[in-house]
Amino acid sequence: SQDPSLPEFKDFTTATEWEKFIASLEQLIEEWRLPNIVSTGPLANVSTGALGGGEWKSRSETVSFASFRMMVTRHYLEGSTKERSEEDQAKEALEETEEYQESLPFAMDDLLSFTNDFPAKAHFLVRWYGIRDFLLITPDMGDDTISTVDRQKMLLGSVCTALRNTNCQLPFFIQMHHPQEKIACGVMCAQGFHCYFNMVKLVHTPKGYDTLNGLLTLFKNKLCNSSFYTHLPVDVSIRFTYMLDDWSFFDLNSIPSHSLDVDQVIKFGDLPMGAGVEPISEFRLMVSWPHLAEDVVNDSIAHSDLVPANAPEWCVTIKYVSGPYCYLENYLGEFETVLSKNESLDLVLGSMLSDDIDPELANVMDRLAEPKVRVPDLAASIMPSDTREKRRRLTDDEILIKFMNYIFIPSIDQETVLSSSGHIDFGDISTALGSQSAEKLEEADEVEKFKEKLRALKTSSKNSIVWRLSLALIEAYHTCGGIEGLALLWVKVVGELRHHFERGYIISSIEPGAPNLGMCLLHQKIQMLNCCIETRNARELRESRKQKKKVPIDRMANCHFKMPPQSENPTEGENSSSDEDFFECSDSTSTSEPVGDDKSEGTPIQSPDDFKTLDDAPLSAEGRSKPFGALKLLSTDEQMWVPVCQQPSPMTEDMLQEQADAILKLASDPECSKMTARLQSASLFSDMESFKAANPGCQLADFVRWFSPRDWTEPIRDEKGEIVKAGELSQRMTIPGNMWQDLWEQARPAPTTRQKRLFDDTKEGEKILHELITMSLSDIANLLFPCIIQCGLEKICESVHKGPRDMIPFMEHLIEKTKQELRMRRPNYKDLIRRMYEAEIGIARAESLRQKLFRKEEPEETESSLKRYLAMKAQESSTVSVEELVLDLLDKPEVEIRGGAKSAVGRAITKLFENAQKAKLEDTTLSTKSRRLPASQQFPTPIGKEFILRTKYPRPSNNSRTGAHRIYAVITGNEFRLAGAFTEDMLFY
Amino acid sequence: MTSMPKDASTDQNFDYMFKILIIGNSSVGKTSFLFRYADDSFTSAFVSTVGIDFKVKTVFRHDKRVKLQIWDTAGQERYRTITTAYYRGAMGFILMYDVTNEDSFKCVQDWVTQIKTYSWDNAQVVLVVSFPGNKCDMEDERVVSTDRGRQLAEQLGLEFFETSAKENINVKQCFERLVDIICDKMSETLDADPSLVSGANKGTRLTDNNAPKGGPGQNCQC
Repeated sequence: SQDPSLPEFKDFTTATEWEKFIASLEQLIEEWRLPNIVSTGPLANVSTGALGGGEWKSRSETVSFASFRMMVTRHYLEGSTKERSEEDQAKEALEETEEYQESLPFAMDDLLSFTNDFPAKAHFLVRWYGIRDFLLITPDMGDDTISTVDRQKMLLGSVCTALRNTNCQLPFFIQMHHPQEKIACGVMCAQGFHCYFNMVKLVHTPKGYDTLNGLLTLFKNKLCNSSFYTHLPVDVSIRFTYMLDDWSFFDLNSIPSHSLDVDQVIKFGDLPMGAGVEPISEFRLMVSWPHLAEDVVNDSIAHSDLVPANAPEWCVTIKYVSGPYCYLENYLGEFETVLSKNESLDLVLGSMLSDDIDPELANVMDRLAEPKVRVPDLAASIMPSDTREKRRRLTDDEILIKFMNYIFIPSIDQETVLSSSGHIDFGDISTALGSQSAEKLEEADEVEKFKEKLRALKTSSKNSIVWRLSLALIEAYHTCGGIEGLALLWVKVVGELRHHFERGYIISSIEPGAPNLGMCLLHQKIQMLNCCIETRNARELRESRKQKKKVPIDRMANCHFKMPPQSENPTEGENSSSDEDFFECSDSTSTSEPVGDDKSEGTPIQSPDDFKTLDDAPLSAEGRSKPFGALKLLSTDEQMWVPVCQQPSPMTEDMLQEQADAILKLASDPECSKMTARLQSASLFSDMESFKAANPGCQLADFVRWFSPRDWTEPIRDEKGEIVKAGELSQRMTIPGNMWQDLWEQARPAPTTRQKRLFDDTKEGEKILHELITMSLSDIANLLFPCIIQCGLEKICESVHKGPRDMIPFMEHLIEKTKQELRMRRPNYKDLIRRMYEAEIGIARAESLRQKLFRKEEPEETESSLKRYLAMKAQESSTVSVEELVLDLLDKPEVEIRGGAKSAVGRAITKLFENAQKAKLEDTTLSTKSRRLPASQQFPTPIGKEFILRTKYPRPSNNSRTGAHRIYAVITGNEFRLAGAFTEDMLFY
Repeated sequence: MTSMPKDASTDQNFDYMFKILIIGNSSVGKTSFLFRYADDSFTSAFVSTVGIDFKVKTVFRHDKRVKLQIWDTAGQERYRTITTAYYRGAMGFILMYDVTNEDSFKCVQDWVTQIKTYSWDNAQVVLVVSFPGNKCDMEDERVVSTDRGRQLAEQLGLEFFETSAKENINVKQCFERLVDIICDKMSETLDADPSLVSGANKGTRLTDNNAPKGGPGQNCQC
């Protein structure tokens, strides 16, 4: 289409995709400032955590080759490399020629270094090549992989070019095949060397190549095409891994069993704890021979020197079962599900309410479920059919009685029973610790401290009725038919509480007095019930006492009655005959009376001393408690008396909250501020009435002088005692129409016995009982949980010394957390249970490890007592070091064992493997049981063998400079892998 | 008197809510102090508080909306049992005494004991001296010296403020300081969350614990 006359130009400057790719790699390298990267010095030892334990970082960016998107990632050990400063660069430029001769690039040093041979946790390339800083390119195209040799070569070529162009010394890898395969190839270009990284992976191990001798031959062949080049010194590191994952050889009875056996005696308050399954899945022993010269050991098909017993380094690592079944977690966690069950008791019991339930219980139910709506079908469809054991039913009287007795009859030896049961005895440790009684005492102290802390939780005191109630109900849930058992027992318990309430029996095992707001809600409610019962008992006692005195009083009252009309006389008040009725009748009749205190103030008060009651109190004044200092009433100059007052109604926290909410609602409207005061004025009003009754002829100022003395200014007198300035009420008390005055005007003189009760025990008691019986399952669980959580925590705290090292601070935090959580309106029990589970697992793991490692040495046919003593001593010290090992294993991913096979710990581990081997051999040979196995048979076949071979050797020709070469070989059951790094001198060849 | 915005107490838009109590002997000026802070108003005589009353004020602290629910209490002896019931759940206390009243100063120790007995252990307290009038006018009537007040505050480990509701001295500062120490204490307890089992999902709840999503009082029990 173009004009053919014009010459055709081809733009040769247009970059190809390949060139673009290289350019983008170079750009990236420059951007990340990698060209001048140098090491900060040799790596620290692996045990002090360099490659394995240091902090690894990474940084990624995508690059594309045409449309093929890839991700370049730099992995580097923080602090192990740095950018060369310009000064250094200049200096190095001068010394460059010598430098080239003297030292190898740092990555090559790393290849040869044997300080970091088998890091515990690291990127596979780090584990295999021992490098500290490298780049890795991985396809970023979903499942697309780099699998063909073409692509590999193309990428490798690009990478090599980019590295050389930028003078970047970092190894650059290309991820091949699927990432799971862990196959990569790579290249490193530095100081005129090219180092190529390559890997081989086979499913079967070629014969002979799983031995050191075989691999040495291979390595030498590759380097100099001759396996007979014996003078090539090869440094070798070897590591064998042995694994135990089958614990069936352990006696089953040595694992503590907490299974809920139906026939077992019900152990209230002893929550189950511990793992229900083996919490340890694998026990691995890694033995290594670091930095061997090749000719020191012999390892061939025919014979091997490589047995764990003579390995200088031992290392142990554990793998745990994730989320093992644990008893306590299960016990609590399952009950936690009840929190989300909103079914009513009626619904749950509806289907059960049949003739087989004892009539008393049915009676309770009848009384409660007023208009009974029977929805048995619905109930059946909502409730999942309970697969739990139904053998133990609460409908069985005997069991029900057991439960009720536990709840309502306090047992004296409760404490001792609890502390002695549920203690798992691990013979060895406890004897070992027993020898250090001081330590044991310390532990006991610590446990005591924890228990002290637990006491501060917003729950209930240990072994109080609330505590026992909570534990019995969760037990009923678990062993007596799930929610039905729970509901049945709850109804029964509330029935019993009602019985107490109606008969006036104080509920025992709970602190007396007003609800303690520092305790859980159920605790407060029971205390409140007791307050009701007590108040009523006291009232009834008073009344019955009056009954006895009735005759004379009646007589007097009757004659008094006929005197002046009661409403007109403020001093009138003695009206004992109506006492019994007073509480039933409201104060409406009296408040409707015209109240004329202030008006009648001036009139002299009759003091009919001749009308003395048997209590010897003046008839005109009632409800006097004690004289109030030397104060005299202002208008009558009579002694001022402190009246007997009604105590404000005890409140549980939910009542308080209700009241607070009401105030909040009112106060949000500024006009209602007066209303909030009015709402709370009952107590003030009652005090005023009492005061009036006790101090006939008093005025508001008198009341203020007693109630709020700061609102009264005493009169000022001169030297002669003449009043210069009259006493006065404060400004705020005299504001016209303020509430104090209003109330004072409305109050009529009435002793507490004739006032409206501030605390209506009948109403409050009924309210609580009604609330308890109409609760949903979730409400019930919410009431019970605080004590259950505390009981669980207590259980854990008893074993706090059996856990990992961090157990104590962890538990301290957990208790603090629980304390805060229990103050919330809706505590997050799930989270608390999860944290408790964590502690439980920690303890279970530790216990399992101890059990495995603390196997008693077979008692040797003993000789002298001295020898026996020494043996005992030795065992004691070994116990201590094995305990150390257990704790280390729980803390660290890998634990090095000092002294290897010869150490006490090493012996314990050998024993463990030997026992497993014996168990395996038992089927075939019989007499091995007591004999020790020969060293070669103590351990099973290693599940993994790792070899690292490395050397310096000039390549490709004899005239080349020497470069680093390395092979890492790992042989496991179904994998044979070689990871090689071979250097070629690109300057002299 | 400027009236409080109507939606102040029902406003759900806040990050934290602190419940604060003002306590102290009767007629030391608790109500005046609260009105000065919440409404910026002053009246020489408020009706003596019956029981408890409260006001709401929202402040900004570290980019967070903090809603203060400030409870005003009756100081009379007879109201002790009623008011102490409200101590639980309060995160801060303002303990007041009157500079012209020796008794109110002597009772400070008692009030602190009350707080220790009835409040949660993480509650923060500041000690406030009130001048029931113009500060300089009151100097003649002063019976408790600044030094004695300061000394007592130090001894009890409380922050100390000399304030006047009438002249609006130090009122705002006092509340702000209290909010600050509550915030400090809160972040202190929220910091650590240890884990025993490596790799176990670490607690994520700590942070949202104190950011109530619901209405007032949702977060605490009473």
